[in-house]
Amino acid sequence: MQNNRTFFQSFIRNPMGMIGFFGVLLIVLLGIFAPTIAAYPKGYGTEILVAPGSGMLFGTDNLGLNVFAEVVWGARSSLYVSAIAVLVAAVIGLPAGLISGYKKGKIGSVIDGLIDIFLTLPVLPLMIVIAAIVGSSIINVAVVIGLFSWPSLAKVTRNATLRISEMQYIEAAKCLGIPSYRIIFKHILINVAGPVLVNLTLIMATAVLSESGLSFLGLGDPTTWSWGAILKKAWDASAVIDTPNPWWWWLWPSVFIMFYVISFNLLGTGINEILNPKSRE
Amino acid sequence: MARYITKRLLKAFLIFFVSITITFFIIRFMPSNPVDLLIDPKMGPEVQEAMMEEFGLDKTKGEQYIIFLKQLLQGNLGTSFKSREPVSQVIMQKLPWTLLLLFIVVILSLAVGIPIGVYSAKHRGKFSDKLINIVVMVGISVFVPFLAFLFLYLFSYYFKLLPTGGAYTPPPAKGIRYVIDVLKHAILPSLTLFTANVASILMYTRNSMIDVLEEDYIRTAYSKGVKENKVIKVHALKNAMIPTITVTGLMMGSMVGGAVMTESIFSWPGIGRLIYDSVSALDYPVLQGSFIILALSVIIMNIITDLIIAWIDPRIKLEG
Amino acid sequence: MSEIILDIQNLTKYFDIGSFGTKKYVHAVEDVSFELHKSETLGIVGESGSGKSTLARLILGLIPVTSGKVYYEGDEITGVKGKYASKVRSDIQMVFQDPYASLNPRIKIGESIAEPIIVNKLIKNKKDVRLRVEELLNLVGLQPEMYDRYPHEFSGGQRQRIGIARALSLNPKVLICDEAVSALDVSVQAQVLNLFNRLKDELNLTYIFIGHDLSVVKYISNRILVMYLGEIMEIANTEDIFINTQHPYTKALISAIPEVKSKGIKERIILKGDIPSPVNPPEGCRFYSRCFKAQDKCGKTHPELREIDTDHFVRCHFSEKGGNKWLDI
Repeated sequence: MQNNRTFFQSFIRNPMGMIGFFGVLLIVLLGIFAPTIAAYPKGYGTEILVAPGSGMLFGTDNLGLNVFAEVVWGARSSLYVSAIAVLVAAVIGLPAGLISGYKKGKIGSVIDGLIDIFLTLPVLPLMIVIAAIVGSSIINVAVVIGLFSWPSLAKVTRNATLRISEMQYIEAAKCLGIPSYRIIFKHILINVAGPVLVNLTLIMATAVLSESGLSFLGLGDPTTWSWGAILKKAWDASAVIDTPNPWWWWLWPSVFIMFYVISFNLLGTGINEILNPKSRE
Repeated sequence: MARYITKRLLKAFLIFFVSITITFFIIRFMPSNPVDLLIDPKMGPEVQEAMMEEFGLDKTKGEQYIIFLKQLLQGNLGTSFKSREPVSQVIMQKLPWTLLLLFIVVILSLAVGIPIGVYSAKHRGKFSDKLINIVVMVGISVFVPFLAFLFLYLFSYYFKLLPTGGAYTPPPAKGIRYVIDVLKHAILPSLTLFTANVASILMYTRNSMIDVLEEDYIRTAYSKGVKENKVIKVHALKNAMIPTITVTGLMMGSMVGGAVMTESIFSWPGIGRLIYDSVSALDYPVLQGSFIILALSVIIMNIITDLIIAWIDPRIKLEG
Repeated sequence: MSEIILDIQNLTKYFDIGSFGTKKYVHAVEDVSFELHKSETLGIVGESGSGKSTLARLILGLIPVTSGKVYYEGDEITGVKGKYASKVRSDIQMVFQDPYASLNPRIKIGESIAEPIIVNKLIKNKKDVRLRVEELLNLVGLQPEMYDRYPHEFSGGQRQRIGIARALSLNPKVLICDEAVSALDVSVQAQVLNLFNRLKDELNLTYIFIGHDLSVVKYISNRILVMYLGEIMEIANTEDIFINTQHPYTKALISAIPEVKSKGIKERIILKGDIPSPVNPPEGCRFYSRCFKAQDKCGKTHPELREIDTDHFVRCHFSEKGGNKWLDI
């Protein structure tokens, strides 16, 4: 199975994974050190719609605020949303997948059915409705996204669990009197960590896409800067087809969204390649 | 096969029922009273009460639910709070537009995605494949509004080739001119959705083709004749398409409601847009009706994909 | 005769493989009864699909029985659950077949052995647990320092030793070895078999040794039980099985053992015919379709398991005490 190299050693040799890792690291640093990097943008600035140049790395928006600062603070909320969404998804999805994969029978079918139902629900429309109900604080948005992400995590976990449950070392554990909860949450969990981790990176990536989408539609948290919210402001001001075009206003937040998502996807792909020696390269 | 279909339909019905129940109660929990939006404060309280009664809002949620089910069974989706038209009418005005986009996008995605996926699998490891992989990676990471902005900027603003929004330039022309006008307006939104979706199709096709080709090479080593090879190849190809079909089904199911952002940006009069507007207007019946249509389309898509897959791979229907 | 430690009575297991409500049963184990005597090694031999592994799991309660009973030291333990289960668990343990799949790859081997001890509360103190694990490692011929290593760092033979140490961690009295050496190289097999014998003497164990290779089973067993398609075909002392072979199937198995030196060229019996489906076992003798001595009666009447000599049971219409001439080829 696992060869002599530890996981880390293999990971370092994987180019895509490393690129993704550093991309994620960059965003994390931006988010953590946001206050020291740029002042929180609020109120009005002096120069409106100025192109990038001296002092203003990404130019200014229609209120004269520093777009670079907006983007940096946007990184912070994106990380925050992703982290909470992943947490919510994991807390629900992992046990659901593990238990339904191990126990099978009635409980397994019920959870499986739940997963199917959730996967049928139209995600974006429902998120819109729920966001309207619970209000648009950043935590609510994050929790809602997490609530829609748990089914896919549960499915991946369940499939991996089904496979691992058939292994002889699980049968041995039962024979030796190891209680079910310990088998599930120790013996099986540590062996499904791989596919689960990959799915978690995927959730972090899509969480930002969802949050940006919601913010773009005006349902995000108005008190925090979010890349989606910046784009909404730009769109409302007709910035995309305006003449002369303040491209920096809508280009940079979009680039950062892509960068974030691609980094997490690369990270996930890297992890996946290492765990599957038979990868399709 | 008949047994499988029956089981599948039953499961679908159950899911549908639970889906619309969940969405019903979620919608009813939306804050604010929809009547508030329609009332002129100068109206007397009796008028307000009458309106509440008209919309059934004076009853408990449980009672509202029963009425909803009853009406649904009769094919009645209710009446819009906002426009007072029957919901089914409202939806039927918008649904075809979304379906048009869907149709174009799916055909394009399959026509482009599958061949390139197969090509990529055959030439795996080479430069062209690596390039395609990068494109796929970017494709599945894309943020839809950004794509829309990009295309708008390039084609409407910079090159001034295509219109900036709407489904047609009013006043609507007649006959073939109308069709061309609509198609012209459809280019950018379709392109946006296509770019966002083709990457998945490409990826799934490529990966399953690689699995299949691997087996193929082994068999080719021991093959005895061209005929045997062809039979294997055709059969293997059918099975290789299974993940692609699955993901296409998922894509179509989610696109009906998921095109909200694209439809908003291009002012395309589709269902996604309708949902968004109904949320702001607190138009419960229209919202509810849209969700029913959405649930239906997803479920129908899933059934069709499952049936196609079961037809291709008989093992799946045996495992039920 | 020494005391009976395990009494297996009429164990039967059917697996339902029907779909959509139709019933379709695989007759995996059919009416198996035997006694296990303290300190003996009972070998169970049969080809794949004979039901041997299923039988082992029925005895341990890992899968539920369809009918039949299992008695341990006089108490019924069939499909036991609850408080009494842990008592039974400690006393009867299993060594598994696949050295590459029977140890959790992500857990240190020392911890794999320690876990049952901790979970079953045999030893409370952590340090004492570790000492005990090291003791067990020594017992099976490994070094105590190996505690902190992972399974992939060991060879197949070593992994089986770890599996044995783990099975012994609960101080069992009975060990069921399910094809415990089948996945090992021949040279390593001998080492592990010798380990089994040594442990049996040192710890006063009783074994059920399951295998498909009669030469291996012969080496280690006092008595041998031959299974075919879920049924017992013959049980006897090892010596009697070879000298006084009664059942045609046993005869065929024996003839398949390669021998280095032979007094004459032994003719190998090759079984022809198809293995009947375990889903619809035939009415008559289950070996009928492949038996080289089959008569009409065999296809119609199901033979019972009869004691044709002291402690020698056979399921064949034509076996009789002393008389083997009919089987001579």
